[in-house]
Amino acid sequence: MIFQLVRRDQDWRMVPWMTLCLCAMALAGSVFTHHRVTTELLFSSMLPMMSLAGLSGAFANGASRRASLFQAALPISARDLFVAKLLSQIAGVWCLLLSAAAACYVAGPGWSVPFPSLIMAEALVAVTILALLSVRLRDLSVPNGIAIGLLAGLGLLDAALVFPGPLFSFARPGIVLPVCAGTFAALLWRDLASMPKVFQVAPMDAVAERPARRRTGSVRPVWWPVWRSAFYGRNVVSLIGSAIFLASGMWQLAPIMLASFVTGAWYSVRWLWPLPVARRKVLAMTLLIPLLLEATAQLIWPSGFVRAVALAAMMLLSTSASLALLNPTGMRAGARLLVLPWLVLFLFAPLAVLLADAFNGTGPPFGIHARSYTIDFLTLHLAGVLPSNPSILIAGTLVALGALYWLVQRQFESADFVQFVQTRLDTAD
Amino acid sequence: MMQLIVHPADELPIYRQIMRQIVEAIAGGRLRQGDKLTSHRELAEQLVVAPLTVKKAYDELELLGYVETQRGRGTFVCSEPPKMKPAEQRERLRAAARKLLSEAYLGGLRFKDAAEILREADREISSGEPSPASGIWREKEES
Amino acid sequence: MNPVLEFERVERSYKKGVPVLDGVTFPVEPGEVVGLLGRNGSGKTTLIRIAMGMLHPQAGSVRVFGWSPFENPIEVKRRVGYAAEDQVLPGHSTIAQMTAFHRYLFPSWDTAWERQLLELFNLDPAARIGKLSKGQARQVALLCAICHRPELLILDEPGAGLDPAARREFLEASIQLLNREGCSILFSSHHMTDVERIGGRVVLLDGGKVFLDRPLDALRENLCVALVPKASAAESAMVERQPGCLRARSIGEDWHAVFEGEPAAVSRQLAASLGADGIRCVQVPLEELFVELLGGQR
Repeated sequence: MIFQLVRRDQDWRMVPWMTLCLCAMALAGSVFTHHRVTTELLFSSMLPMMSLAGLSGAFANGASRRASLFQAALPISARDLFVAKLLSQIAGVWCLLLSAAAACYVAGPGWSVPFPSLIMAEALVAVTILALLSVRLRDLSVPNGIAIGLLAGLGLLDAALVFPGPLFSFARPGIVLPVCAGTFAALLWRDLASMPKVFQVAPMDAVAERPARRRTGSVRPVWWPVWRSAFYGRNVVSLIGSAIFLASGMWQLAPIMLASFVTGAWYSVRWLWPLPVARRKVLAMTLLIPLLLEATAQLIWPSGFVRAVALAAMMLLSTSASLALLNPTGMRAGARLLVLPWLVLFLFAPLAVLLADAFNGTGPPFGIHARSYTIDFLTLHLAGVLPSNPSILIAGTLVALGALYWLVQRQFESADFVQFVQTRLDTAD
Repeated sequence: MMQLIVHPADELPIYRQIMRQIVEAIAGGRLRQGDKLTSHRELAEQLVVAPLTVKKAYDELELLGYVETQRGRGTFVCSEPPKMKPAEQRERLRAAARKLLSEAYLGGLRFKDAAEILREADREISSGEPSPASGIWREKEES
Repeated sequence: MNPVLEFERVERSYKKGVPVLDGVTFPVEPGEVVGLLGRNGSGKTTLIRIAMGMLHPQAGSVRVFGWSPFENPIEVKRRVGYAAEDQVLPGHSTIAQMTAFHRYLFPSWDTAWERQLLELFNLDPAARIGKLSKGQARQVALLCAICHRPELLILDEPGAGLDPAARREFLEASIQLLNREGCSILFSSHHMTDVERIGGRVVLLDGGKVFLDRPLDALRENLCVALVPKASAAESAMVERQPGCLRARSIGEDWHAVFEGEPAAVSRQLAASLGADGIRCVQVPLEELFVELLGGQR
């Protein structure tokens, strides 16, 4: 029974795909063996942290259920459901880490895998997962607020224990492993002892009966619901993430985070479409404002005018490409296939540049004042072609970017967001 | 004053139900000559039906001669009930009577019982009890 | 008078070769209440979204107040109220914040009526929309749709999932709107009793096309259902060939066929042409007509 449940579990099903992704990233990351990112760093902290981040993303999506509503109605005991969920999550994370390690090991000498740190990290992750699943055992799912808080707290603790470097790493495998094993066993014993026969779930309407908090004093501007929809939750995490990447010099990852913010914000404000709000305004709020923020960030931390412009141009081009793919009345399938690679290029080109630099042995170290040699190379060569008068340069840039923005606006106004608008039966669980 | 009830899934359309109940009210004396009917907008809100439906009922009643609309003042029960040609009226009533009696005889009742039933119906109309779905407006035959 | 809303040969499909709407044409005249009926997946929601400018038709055109909702979205939407079953409202905002936002967007917002409806629906303006029950959230959506006194109200299954009392309150609010403003309403619904209460005209969609487009009373009075024993007609084609037949379907040992005309006349005609006894002909309410016209066979 437990095996049947694990086999059908969503997290378990995702394991092959996630393994592929993580292997690729591990291989790419292990290129940094020459620099301050070592496999030690990678396997003991970065990858586990990313798995936990992935889990927390899943929790935020409402996947923090010990069982789906569908399963809860079947004649399966709560204990089986719990154990199955625990096994599939732990197995998922361990499979990922072990296969990433195996990939690096196979890739050749010089890429040594620090097994002690790896085992320690995995033990910590296992305890974190169990701790999360043990909260409020009576109910079908852990409330989102508690889940995220607990995950953040435990995640930081794990990082503090494991992250190698001068400041941290006072943990030794010899101490951490037995403590983890003991905690795991204790928690598991307590859970199995106090496991209810069935999990409780209240219908959605009943949960809503709690009285609302009184905040009658606060007066908010009229457009507040719109801002709150667009700049909240996952969206603002993407935005902050991209700001962090920019500030730390890893600007190559920023376009992807920005694109995630933009599409997330469009999705969150879809309730505006029946209302008489110009699409122009929605686009300006969701695309223009972040672009301006990013450009300002780029210029403040002096990473270069060219880079700021390149980032903005790439964002606009990738937005235009994704909107072109949405356009219902024009594109035949063949044309769509042509547009898709450009979209991938605009979003991932900077990352490719980063990897190319790394393979050349001129990869950027971490730090606030990172510089990318390739972009400087471009700047040097473009300097001969571009007008030297800075005001002409800036004006020309503004005109070019403005034209790109106008193109994107036209596309946005005539786009059919069918996947936002079309109702689908809820088949998630 | 006008206690009307409508059933959407009844075999009669809603406007015909309204018409029938108003006519029965006039016949039973609950609505007298010169009485003002509730405005069609208010009646629509009361019965939770479309205002145009009520208006249609009133218009049809006006065509048949039971009510008259005076601009700006409302709809009133006519001072004289509509005049049907006496021969035509008798013929219709005779046909209805034949139908009633043949059903009764088929069911094994006698004339006395049929007369008692007629008296009960008279009492119902005078007191305004809502009647089930077969009324004087339907001529749906079963063959 | 110019129609308030007009569809002209609208076509739309989601997957290649599977048309959801295949040439739909009908108008909504000022002051009319039009009920859009059809089975699940027959394109009602798609059509309504096209009218709101939320989806582009792949062929054909739609005009609202004479404008295209794609070229003049703001002017059109200012005069239209919209409430749908699958409407998304921002869960974090309070009712008061939503109505404040609507008051800003719609110059014709009626604050007094808003207060009245909040009382009628028993809603607390400080409550967060995400914490309301489904019925209450739907009431908020309706309130936002009608309080700016729109000239056209578009409702997409407004009563779905609501208890009968909530549905009745919904209808009462809509009738208040009809009385005050003489607006036009286009609504799709599966609750035939609600359609019978408030509908003036009915448009039936089937197979992506308009199957029927008639005033409701005419539909009720001019259509009847004939029950023909299979002994009198071996195949449905024999029944469907009869003049005035819209559809025949098999139910057990009879054919249920929808005919145009008075029941007495139709049953006489059928008795004559099919030479049968035991044919019964009745007028039926809208729900039965819907099932007979669009339902499956047994």
